[in-house]
Amino acid sequence: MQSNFKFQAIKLVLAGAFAVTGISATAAGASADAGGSVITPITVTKTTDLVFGRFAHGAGAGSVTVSTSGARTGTGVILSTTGATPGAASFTVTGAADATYSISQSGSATLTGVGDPMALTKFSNTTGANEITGDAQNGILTGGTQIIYIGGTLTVSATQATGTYAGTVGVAVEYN
Amino acid sequence: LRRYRARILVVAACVASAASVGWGAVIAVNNTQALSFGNFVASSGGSVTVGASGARSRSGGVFLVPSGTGAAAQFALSGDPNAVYSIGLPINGVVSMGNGANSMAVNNFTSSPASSGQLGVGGSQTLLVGATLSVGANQASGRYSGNFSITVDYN
Repeated sequence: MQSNFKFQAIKLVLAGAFAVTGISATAAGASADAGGSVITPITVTKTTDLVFGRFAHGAGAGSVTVSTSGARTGTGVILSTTGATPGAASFTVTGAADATYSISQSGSATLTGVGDPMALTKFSNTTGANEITGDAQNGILTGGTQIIYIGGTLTVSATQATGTYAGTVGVAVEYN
Repeated sequence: LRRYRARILVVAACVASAASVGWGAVIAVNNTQALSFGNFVASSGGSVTVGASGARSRSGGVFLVPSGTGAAAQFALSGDPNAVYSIGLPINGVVSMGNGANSMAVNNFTSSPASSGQLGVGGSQTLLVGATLSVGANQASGRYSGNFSITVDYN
């Protein structure tokens, strides 16, 4: 009878010890979300060339300007209504919707041909508005696309040789 | 007398139990910030790594979109002041992020502090966790998501 009681007592103590072990198990865990977004690559393609059209030099130095909307004006030169139709360069940019990006221009500082090179200065926007100054340095791909418009001013000397002159206009884009 | 002895033993067991619980407040861990790999272009594929510091790096053809920054996961730990604890991070091959039928594996988890840390005098600490995301060539665009678990335990 007494030995039976001791057995019960030992079981109680053991139960107590196990209970302690259970409570003091201190490991804890937590879960976290992980996320990321794969973005459509940004691309840019030429849609139209920058075209100054046909013109003749005047008695002095002059210039021909094609605005970002493609409107041509001349100073000290004679603009021809025949020949290639003047127009602004345009580049179509595509990528992730609503992403912002930076624009950097490249290309020729002069147009070259049979005579002396003609200096080229450029301006740009992303609205297509009629502008002859300013530079668009950033854009936003509302709906995943945007067009960059580039116009320029060509300096024409009083002795500019007759012929065709050409150069390049380029843009590079990168996500901001 | 026998009943009396039995009571003494039971009381003793309870006292031992209470004393043991007293030395170890349970360590608690709560996620306070998700792990984010930010925005990137897959191109020819590669990887995006977010360090425990939150700094993002890349390999292969992956381009990191500057404005779409990443972030290390953050966990708030609390327990005994100055207690030393160990950290269990997911092993490789078990965590991935998905978007429909597409997925990307998340491996090489790192943490700060690394493998073990020590709670501050106030009994708390922030644990930061980073990892590396494997990006396939021309990985389909979209938002990918998943989750992972960590464990912490007193040493």
